Amino acid sequence: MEVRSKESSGFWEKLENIDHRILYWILIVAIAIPYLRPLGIPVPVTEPVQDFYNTLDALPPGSTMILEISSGPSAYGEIGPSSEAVMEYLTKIYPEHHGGDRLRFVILSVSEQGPLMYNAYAKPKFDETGWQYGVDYAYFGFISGLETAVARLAEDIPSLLPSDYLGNDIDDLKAMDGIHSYKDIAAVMVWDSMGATEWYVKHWASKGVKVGNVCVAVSLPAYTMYYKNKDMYGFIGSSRGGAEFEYLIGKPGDAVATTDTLSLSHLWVIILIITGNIGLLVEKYFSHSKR
Amino acid sequence: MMVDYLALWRAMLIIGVFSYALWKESPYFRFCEHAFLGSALGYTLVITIKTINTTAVFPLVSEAKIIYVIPIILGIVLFLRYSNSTKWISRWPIALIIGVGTALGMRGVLYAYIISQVKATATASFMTDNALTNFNNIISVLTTILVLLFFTFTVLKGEKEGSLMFQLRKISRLMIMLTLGAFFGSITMARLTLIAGQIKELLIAFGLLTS
Repeated sequence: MEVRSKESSGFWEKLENIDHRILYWILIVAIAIPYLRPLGIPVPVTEPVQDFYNTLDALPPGSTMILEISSGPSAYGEIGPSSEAVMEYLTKIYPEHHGGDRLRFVILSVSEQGPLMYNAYAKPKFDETGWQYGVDYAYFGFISGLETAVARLAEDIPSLLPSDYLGNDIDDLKAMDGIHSYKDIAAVMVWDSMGATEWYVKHWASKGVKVGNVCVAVSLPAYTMYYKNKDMYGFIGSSRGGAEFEYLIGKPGDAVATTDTLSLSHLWVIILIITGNIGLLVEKYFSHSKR
Repeated sequence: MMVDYLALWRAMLIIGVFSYALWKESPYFRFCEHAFLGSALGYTLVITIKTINTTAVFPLVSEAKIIYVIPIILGIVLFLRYSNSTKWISRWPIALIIGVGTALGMRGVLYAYIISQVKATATASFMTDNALTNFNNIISVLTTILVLLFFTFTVLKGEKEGSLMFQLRKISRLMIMLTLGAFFGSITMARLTLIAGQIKELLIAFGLLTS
């Protein structure tokens, strides 16, 4: 009995002391495989993503939306594919559903890294689909002030955004015609990796404006709470949410591929958690029986 | 075949950063780390200077808005904290920033954290057409009550082991652990997604995957 217990604890001890680099290498391989050979694991559409889509699609053409880009390159892996899918929908599919009519966008960033994401995801799509700057959309660049700026924006948009990022006066931008406060905005969409959605919930949703977002996974539990409270019309959480949205608009892309990699890598993490816990229990059992 | 030098440069940096976990700390890793920090700080500095120019200096100089002198002076005063003799003056703008921030934050907090939450919990329906929604709503209301109970120390002080309250608090602790587990799961997903994004860049850079 004693010999067997030594053998058993020795095995678990070896497993416990395994070089962490081996575990990381296996993780990297687990992530890479689905990119090279997609698994095609089905992704059912969840309620928040479905509501996100339904709300946007129900907005009357010509309505003005605030597009808040408060994420940066560090969230590129999570928000990038979803943002691309959302832009695809807004610039191509929404007009198809509404006889060619478009929504209007007021775009800004309360994160100093936002302009990078604007240039990577929003602007190329507007250019590709022939949207006219100043008429269909206007970009105001980085706006300092964080929550203070978001609160001020709700009350008086022209005072916070007197000119766009190119230096054009707000009065010269057709996209800004009749836009004075939250009352003139149909909905807000935040590309969020820094928590700006919470400020919009506090200062815009509380006034009845619909708020939705494309967010990183770490914020999901918090935003689920706002969604359940109906303060948010929906959200696209990380690349998994992006995959759902891609399926909804009928264009599986980057997010679907990333979701496959997540499934396999999560499997590896789960195996590690289970093995670690078994090891802990075995160790406890043997140390107890020795006594 | 055209070589995408930018993608290759990106790939070299990604490999450098990964080398810390996959191999060991090395001068190559250090270079990549410093390059990342340097570029991020450089970018932030440029954006900050541009913002100060457009929001304060330009209106003051070109549009003669004298009122903008006040925030500029308050901003400069912040730097007085680097001298022990003038440190105290820098507390004034900090006090102003914290005061305005807190006041503004409080205005929204009542709605987002209290009124809306209480309303949603109190009006949660257990009789919708969707069985899963009903189940979720029951869990949500139960968790709210149990967790509130867990943190009600005064009423439960001196409760004996085996009593109903004691058992309920055990369930509450389980609920809290489940919630924290969900947070942990989300964080794991976030980190893995970040790695996945970089692996994809590598595969593209080395021609194993098309973008």
